[in-house]
Amino acid sequence: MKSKKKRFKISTVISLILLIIVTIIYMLPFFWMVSTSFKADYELYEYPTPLWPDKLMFENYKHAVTYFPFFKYFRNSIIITAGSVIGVLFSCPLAAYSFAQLKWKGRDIIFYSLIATMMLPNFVTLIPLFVIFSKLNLVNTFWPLIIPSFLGQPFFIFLLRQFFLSLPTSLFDAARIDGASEFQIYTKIALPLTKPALLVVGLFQFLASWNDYLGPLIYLTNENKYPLSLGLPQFLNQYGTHWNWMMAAATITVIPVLIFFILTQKQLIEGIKFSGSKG
Amino acid sequence: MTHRKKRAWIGVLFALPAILGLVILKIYPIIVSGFYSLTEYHITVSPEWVGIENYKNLFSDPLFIKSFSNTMYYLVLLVPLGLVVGICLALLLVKDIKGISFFRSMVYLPSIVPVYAFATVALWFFNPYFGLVNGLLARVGINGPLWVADESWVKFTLVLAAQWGAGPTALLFMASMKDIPRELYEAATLEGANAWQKFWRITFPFISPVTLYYLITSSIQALQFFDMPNIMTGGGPNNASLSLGMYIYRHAFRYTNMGYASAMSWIIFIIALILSFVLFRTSMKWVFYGE
Amino acid sequence: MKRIGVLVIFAILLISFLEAEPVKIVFWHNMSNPVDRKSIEESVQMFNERNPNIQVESILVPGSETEATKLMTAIAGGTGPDVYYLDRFTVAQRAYYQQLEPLGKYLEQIGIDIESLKKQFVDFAIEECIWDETLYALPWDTDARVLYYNKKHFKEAGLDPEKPPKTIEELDEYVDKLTKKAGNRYLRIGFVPWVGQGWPYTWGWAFGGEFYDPENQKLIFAEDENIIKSLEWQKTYADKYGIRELEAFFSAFGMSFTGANVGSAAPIDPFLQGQLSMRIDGNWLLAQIRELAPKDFEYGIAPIPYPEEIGQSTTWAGGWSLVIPKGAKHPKEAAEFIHYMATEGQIKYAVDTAHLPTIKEAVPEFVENYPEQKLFADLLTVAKSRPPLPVGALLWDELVDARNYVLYGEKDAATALKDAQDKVQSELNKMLGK
Repeated sequence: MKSKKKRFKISTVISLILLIIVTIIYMLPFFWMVSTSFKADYELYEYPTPLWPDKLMFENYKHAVTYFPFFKYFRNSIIITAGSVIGVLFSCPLAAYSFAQLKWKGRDIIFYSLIATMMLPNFVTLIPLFVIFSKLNLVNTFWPLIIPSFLGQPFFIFLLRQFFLSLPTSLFDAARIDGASEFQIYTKIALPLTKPALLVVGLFQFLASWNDYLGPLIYLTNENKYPLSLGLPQFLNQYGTHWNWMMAAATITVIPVLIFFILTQKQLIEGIKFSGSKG
Repeated sequence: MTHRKKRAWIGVLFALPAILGLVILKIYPIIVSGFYSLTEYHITVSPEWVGIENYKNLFSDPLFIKSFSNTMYYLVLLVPLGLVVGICLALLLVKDIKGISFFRSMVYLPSIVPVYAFATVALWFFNPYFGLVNGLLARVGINGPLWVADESWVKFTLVLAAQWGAGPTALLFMASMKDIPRELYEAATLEGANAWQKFWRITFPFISPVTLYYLITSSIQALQFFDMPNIMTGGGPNNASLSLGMYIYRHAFRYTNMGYASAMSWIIFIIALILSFVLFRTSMKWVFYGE
Repeated sequence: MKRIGVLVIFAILLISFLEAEPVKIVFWHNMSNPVDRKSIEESVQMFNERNPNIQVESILVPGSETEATKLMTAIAGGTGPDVYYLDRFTVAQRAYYQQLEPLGKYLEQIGIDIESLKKQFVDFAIEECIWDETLYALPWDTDARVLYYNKKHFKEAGLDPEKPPKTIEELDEYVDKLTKKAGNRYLRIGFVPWVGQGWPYTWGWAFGGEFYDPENQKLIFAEDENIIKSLEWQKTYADKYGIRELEAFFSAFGMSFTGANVGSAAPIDPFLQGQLSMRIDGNWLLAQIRELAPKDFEYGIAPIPYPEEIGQSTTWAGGWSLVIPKGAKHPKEAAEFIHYMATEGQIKYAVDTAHLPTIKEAVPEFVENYPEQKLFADLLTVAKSRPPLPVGALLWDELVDARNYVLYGEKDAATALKDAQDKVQSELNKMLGK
């Protein structure tokens, strides 16, 4: 008995040490970003590189939000991102459920075609897609950035299908026998059971939209519509790039995502387990 | 209408948004790009049919061959390494210890920061003269390699640096590990199983659907590897880290040589298709869909 | 009297009814630096006030230099701007691919004498704007390259900080003295020729070579002894100091947002950080140093060193231009605006922002305001510029690759240059219909 307890303790200790090492390594980019954001101009190129600035230059943050219309861009980012997240949470689980649990002719061909479309590098499809949106007169609006989410994203449909496939069909059959409609089964049974996956999809889309540069770059031609991802590159120029201001802006940009993430993964802790429902 | 038929129609209805997206936003542009690959196309001039000439020229283009082989290297290294790192991180972070959410957030952070913050830290980390890694190696008496500056190490360095982005993968695996009933582990411990066996007999089957997902999607992403080599090394030194994604971009927008770029993209497309086909086929043997 | 008054009022009302709605034109640029932006916006405002029938909207497009993804997709989709701020070096390429409207034609339509207009600008700049004998752009600002050196390092090494190296031979000696090693790791490197703005063009010209023969439309660099020598000289550095070790010092330098790096600032900079004593770089570095260098940084600038027998220094210039992209809805008005910006607007810009002007009229005032840039302004009269060819970008990339093959010992200089020349010449011939 005693030896078992000892073994238990050692493995926890090792895990903890590993966790700390891993965390330190993974924190470095964020740490560099934040410490740079507080550095004075002349500290940026000092060598040996100071780990932490002499004085916390909060003015950098003021510069960061006045370099470009920060809060306007922020608002735009929120609109685009919220729209996209709602879009994928609407279209992707719906399709994934259908591919996983419903049978219909052509289902598998369509599913595999969807997967196949992920495989072509997107540079060469940029222009045909742009032409479509321009013919629909949707250029210089947020629509080209949001509509595709409502029409399914293969990466997420694939992911959710994997989760839906792991659910027991017996559950659904039972509900069907009880007279529930397919839609009810989808919303009342299937969705709640895959909540962790849905949260992950929401988070991934949030991040993808929040940091999307190419999309907004080519579709938006009115500065009032620019999201934050088009603001950060504005700091880059040959005649004096203020890395400190830029990193301050970047730090602020990261915070909403971080908050979203913290909230999401808290949900993951309380994620629903289905214990014992399998014979 | 029978129940079956009704369900079939509902199936189509549910998938309708995705089907629309598939046809309009995906299939149509793909066909157009296929057409472009058979032409000489410079965007503002009408495309000129050249048949398979673009494809023929590819094979005598030393930079295509170089970037292709670089990309194969990335594929072979990024995917398995990412899988191992992702699963290990997930195992480490899925435990319900107090304060674990802090650690999870930290691990996820590099995926959230803008790519230049990421790239700068990576370059500084691996800098042969004043970087952390060689500094630490020096302390144990090893003369570290020149990492990003060395043609034979640069790709490997990029692959290592890419592991900083393993947060999302770990998150995915954690999401699927959450559903594993604790009782199974307890039962196994009683039977005297060790950690290794517990992983393979219990954990793995449950995370196998996500593993398949990871293998396919990360292969696709590895084949299109662009952001990191583009910012960190610009393809160097001496094109040792030039990825096919970068070379395609160069032809598409720097030389406005869209036809050629499309041909290269189709090569990636076909490879990805074959790879996925193989993965899907063999998946029947090891993926367990929890029934 | 009253009746005449009413008639006059009536006439005025009639005329204002008949007068056309102002034409709105859109101008895309990427000058995101607040000082630059302000100058541009002030000029635009002045233009709009002066020309009520043409209203210009200027839009900032973030992104980097030869990046043209946004422009290309916009032209393809028919939603492009009327005026665009384009890297001058790519004008020929874009003109060849019919991505630009012939600016010259529209300038003539509004009554501008092209020949005398051309004379207002520095030769090399206006030449870059012409393709197939048609004017496609007007030059905007420019830049020039010089040798930057760390005065403190000079003092430490026993070199006179007011006497930077003039010749290649002197340069090599200085580098020897400035380079410091600890064991077999470099603590400080004196100079690396191919870093910063030390491109194949830079040294090819410094050594007295020529790249292109416009008369015969032939690339001639592979047969040019001087250019071969310039590569061989660079190789001596690779051999002496170790190519990989030197690369290691610059593994951080190649960073740029989209990878098309032509001198963007990087957050890790060995020159500013005191590990590199000298570097060839552009006049933009002055601003970077002024704003962001460490407190005790002491530096100087000097003309690019040249081989003893050449006897004089060279430099080359790049810069920007204003063009009308294909499909612009109001090319005539666009031409009007471009003419204004490239002349009056540019003079104002040079003084506001310290960017080197290409319009001769601006130079005296510019130097008066920025005496530290006198060296650059003087160099403008002898600066070279890259041959305006539709294969411009390809030629650049091939030259860089050729140089790298030589540095890494994979090819010798003559072969590397020949391979590059053959490849680019055949593309060029295809385009010229030969």
